[in-house]
Amino acid sequence: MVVHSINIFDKKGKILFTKAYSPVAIKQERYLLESGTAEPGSDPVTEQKKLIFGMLFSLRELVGNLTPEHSNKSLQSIQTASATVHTYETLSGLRFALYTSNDVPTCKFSERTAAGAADTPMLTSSSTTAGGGGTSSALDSTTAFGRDALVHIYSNIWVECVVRSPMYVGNSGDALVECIKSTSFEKELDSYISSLSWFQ
Amino acid sequence: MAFLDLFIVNKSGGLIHHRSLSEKAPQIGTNEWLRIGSTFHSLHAIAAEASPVRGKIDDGIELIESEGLVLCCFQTRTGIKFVLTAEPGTGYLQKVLKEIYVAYTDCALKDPFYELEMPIRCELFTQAVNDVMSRFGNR
Repeated sequence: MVVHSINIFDKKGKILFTKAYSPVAIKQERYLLESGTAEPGSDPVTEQKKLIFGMLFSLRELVGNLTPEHSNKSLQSIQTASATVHTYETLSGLRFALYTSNDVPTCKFSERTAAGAADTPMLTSSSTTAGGGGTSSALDSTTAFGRDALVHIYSNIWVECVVRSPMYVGNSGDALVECIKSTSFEKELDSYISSLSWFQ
Repeated sequence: MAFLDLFIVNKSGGLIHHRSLSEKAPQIGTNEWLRIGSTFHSLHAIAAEASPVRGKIDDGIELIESEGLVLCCFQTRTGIKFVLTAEPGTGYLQKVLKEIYVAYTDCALKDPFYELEMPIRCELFTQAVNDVMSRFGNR
């Protein structure tokens, strides 16, 4: 269970905050920087982050078209063979994207946990509750949920550190990026993520 | 717990089959389906590109979870993507997709008049998908 990286975008797609945690992700960023790009003024790392935003934006529209009416259309997670991205979008358009390895369930009743409980008889929990890590099977307060972590990061760390900071100037723009750097947001975020039972 | 839609995209991104599997599925016109097919094809590849961890060459979206929908994609070695959408809580999506793939190989690929990468218009395939659906209890 590995956390790879976290990215925060404003509603226009500007990258407000990004950080890589796992060695694999850090290595990939370094590799991208070193391989360089022909265009001046854009680096491959930023391009990749913008790609994440574009993907989330288009996927939300796609899923919205396919969802039956009267259902909530918000994206929760997107899984590929190598990693999962958990997403959370606030009412103000702020988007959080958390990349983790594939064994982190998104939220309590996620499809993967239901499938996991059905397929692996080792998880002794019933099919509607999620198992924790590989060892603990009971649902407890340290059970890992990617999207719930994002909701917590928004409501307890972002709102407390950034929105309540006296330097806060609205939820988009360069000034906001500077404001985030001046707060203890990164430090609080790091300590929260390290404290999660599934962080490595 | 219902399956909503099935669509199949060929390796160039064109839609070769789409059908609704339940009345709860939203009404989507043919042009809209074509657009959905090709958008999904591109996003499938972009998701692998945007990930901080590089997987294998033909990596792409396998599962999308949202509050009202679950979307599961199975990509074959030849680049054909079978995509199934369902209400959250529906199980066995991967299994159903594999069964539909078997139905595709039996009914479409073994049909001497079927051209590869072209839209699938085989009555046998439709019937086989109906059988898979009734086996997995679609209401």
